[in-house]
Amino acid sequence: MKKAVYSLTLIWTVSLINLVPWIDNFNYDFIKSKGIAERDIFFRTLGEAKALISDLTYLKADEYYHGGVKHKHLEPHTCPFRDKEARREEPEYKHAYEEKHKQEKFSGFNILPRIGAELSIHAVKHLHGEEEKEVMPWLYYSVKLNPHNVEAYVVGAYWVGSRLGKADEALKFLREGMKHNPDAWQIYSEAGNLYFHQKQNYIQAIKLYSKAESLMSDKNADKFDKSHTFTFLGASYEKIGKIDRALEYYRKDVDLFPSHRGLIKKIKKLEGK
Amino acid sequence: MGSIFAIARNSWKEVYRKKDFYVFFILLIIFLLVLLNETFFDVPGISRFLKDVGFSLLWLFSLIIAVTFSARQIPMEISSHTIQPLLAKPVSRWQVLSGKFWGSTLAAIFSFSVFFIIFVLIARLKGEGVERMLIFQSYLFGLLFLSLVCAVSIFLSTFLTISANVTISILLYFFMSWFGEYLRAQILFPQKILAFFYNLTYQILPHYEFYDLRMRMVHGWEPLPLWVVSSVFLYTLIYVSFILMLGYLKIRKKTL
Amino acid sequence: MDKPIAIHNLTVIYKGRKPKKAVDSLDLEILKGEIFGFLGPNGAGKTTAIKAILGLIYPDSGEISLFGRIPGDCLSRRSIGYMPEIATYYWYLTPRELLRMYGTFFHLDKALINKRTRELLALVDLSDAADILMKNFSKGMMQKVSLVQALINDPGLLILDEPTGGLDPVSRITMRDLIKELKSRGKTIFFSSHELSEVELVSDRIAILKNGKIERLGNLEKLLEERGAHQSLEQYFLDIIRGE
Repeated sequence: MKKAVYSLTLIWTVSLINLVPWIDNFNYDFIKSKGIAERDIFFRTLGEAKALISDLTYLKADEYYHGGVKHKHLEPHTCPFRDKEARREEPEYKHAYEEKHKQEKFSGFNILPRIGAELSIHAVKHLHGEEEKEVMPWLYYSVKLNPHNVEAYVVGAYWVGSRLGKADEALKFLREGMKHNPDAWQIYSEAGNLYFHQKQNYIQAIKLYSKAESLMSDKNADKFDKSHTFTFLGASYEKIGKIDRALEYYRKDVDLFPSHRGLIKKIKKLEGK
Repeated sequence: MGSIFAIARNSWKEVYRKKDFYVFFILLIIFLLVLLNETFFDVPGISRFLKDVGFSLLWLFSLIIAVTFSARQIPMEISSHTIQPLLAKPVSRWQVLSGKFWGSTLAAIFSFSVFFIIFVLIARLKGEGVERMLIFQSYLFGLLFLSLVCAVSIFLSTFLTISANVTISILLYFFMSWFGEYLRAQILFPQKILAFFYNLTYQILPHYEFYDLRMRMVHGWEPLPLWVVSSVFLYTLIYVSFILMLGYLKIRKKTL
Repeated sequence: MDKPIAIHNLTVIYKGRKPKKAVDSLDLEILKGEIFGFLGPNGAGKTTAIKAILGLIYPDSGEISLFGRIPGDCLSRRSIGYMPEIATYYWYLTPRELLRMYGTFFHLDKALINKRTRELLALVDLSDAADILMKNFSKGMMQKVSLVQALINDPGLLILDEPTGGLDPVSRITMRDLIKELKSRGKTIFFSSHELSEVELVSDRIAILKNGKIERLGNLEKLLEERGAHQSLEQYFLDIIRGE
């Protein structure tokens, strides 16, 4: 009897292992034919909630960068006490913080909030050096959950490429972002940054910055964004010796910020060559 | 004391003779192993993510075991009629309530301890590790947290059904975890009329948010000073005694 | 010498929209060493009265004394054994563990608990199931466990609520013999039952309860004689309940 049960269990398990991909494909084809969504396990388990969770994981990355202190607690209007704690090292806050501390210490009724205050993390620290890699999982999951989270792609690539020095990994990540967000200039701009700063491949940088420029409009970018792109387009052209093109972009930049003395000086210098 | 211990000992046997614990145990190991082997952008040694998610899971699993276990202790005694032969022995209602509390707490602590050991062992395999004093404090706070959770659920079980009790206990935990700090901020910076309401709520509700030292552990902050640990210990002791006393008053004259 | 059970003017009212007197001015004394049958139709108030005796219900009025102590006093329960009408014992324990726990409540030492556990489980033919989890037990086996848990402290007074309910004929005879055996050892037995033939075979005195009030109380033989020779308890009971 036992043998029969074991045999049946084995047959059942093997059949199931073989059937699951088939059932899975069937479901996928069905979902695809309905145009509901792409195939990914997060969608199937979380549905539309995944976008919300993506934002939360993105915030988590920010929280990690601040040593576990939630972003909202750094905002004075939501929690002034936390703000004072967070900035207590700064002279203008130090006095207020100590006053508050004293006040709480001698207020018998407020013993519980006092314990609560001691238990929460008191200060803010930023990740530095090797520690910076710790934000990566959250950014990775943020885009896995919501491939349209452009900011997560850009910030993630910045950390991987610029801070951890893994430019190829960062570019791979951005390419995935471009696939999902072909109209997001920020991703092209960040890829351009990587080619410019990390790989010193100015031809590629120009291609990507130009693409970013073509996607920019007054609606999706402000003049600081545009200025950044023009500056680096100019710099890239300058690096490969195309001074005319470089000047063209530097001038565009100065049009946006006429008081940019450093750049005006640079333009004059290049014009003099 | 012997009677309380006898009730507690038999209650906690339920945890290892039931499947719940093993399900969570296997789930935790699977999750931790998956997290251990997860790599991001080919960067080696990322460990805070493992500690953060691993600790959250073990905390959540222990909470579920504590709540589901303690919530059914007294209602099950009543529905299966075993409360009658139990109270027909030289045992007082207070001893039954205390025994059930200790049984649930021991069961939850047993599960938490097993989960915690696995977590510490796996967390040590990758990255920075955790400072010993913080491991000790997190463990101690875990025990205190579970005793508070069990006491609250035991109290609620004196007048709620099992499912209502489990729902309210878990909601209460998430409410305090998410809004505990917000309430505290409101008390420190009172807004006239609402100040009294916030203060009252803050003093009455169980402070589950006190016990989770995950962020401190994950981000390598310094351990808590002794006076804070002692205060939390004292707070738990007072709150547990008070809430159990309320539970006793509720069942003291109850028809069983 | 204090009587095992002395009840005076006991009244229990179930509160609700329509308050109902479950037990109404009950007066009863149980004498040492007797077997007392507590009879009545469903809803007559038997179980409520038993619960009041054990302190599981707080009466609205009246006094109860168990060996001279009030039911709320833990010490009053030292020499009592109680078998409930229905009880599904802890599925995650074995009978041995259950008896060990209950034995601890009476501050019995470990050796004595082990000895009594062996004897009692043998008495109800459960020796082989001593270490099996009770989740595997049938209703009859559970009933046997229910009986032996009431005997773990070797009580002077045994309160049995429907002890033969759900038992097969063989187990019923065993139970009957057991009750007689306990009486022969000087135990006082107070039990409620629907099985009138069982009551007739073992009881010294009976009380018939109707709507919370005692309709008849006394020596079984004398009560039956009141109605003429050869009347069975069943017929007598039916006559009382129907008000004839």
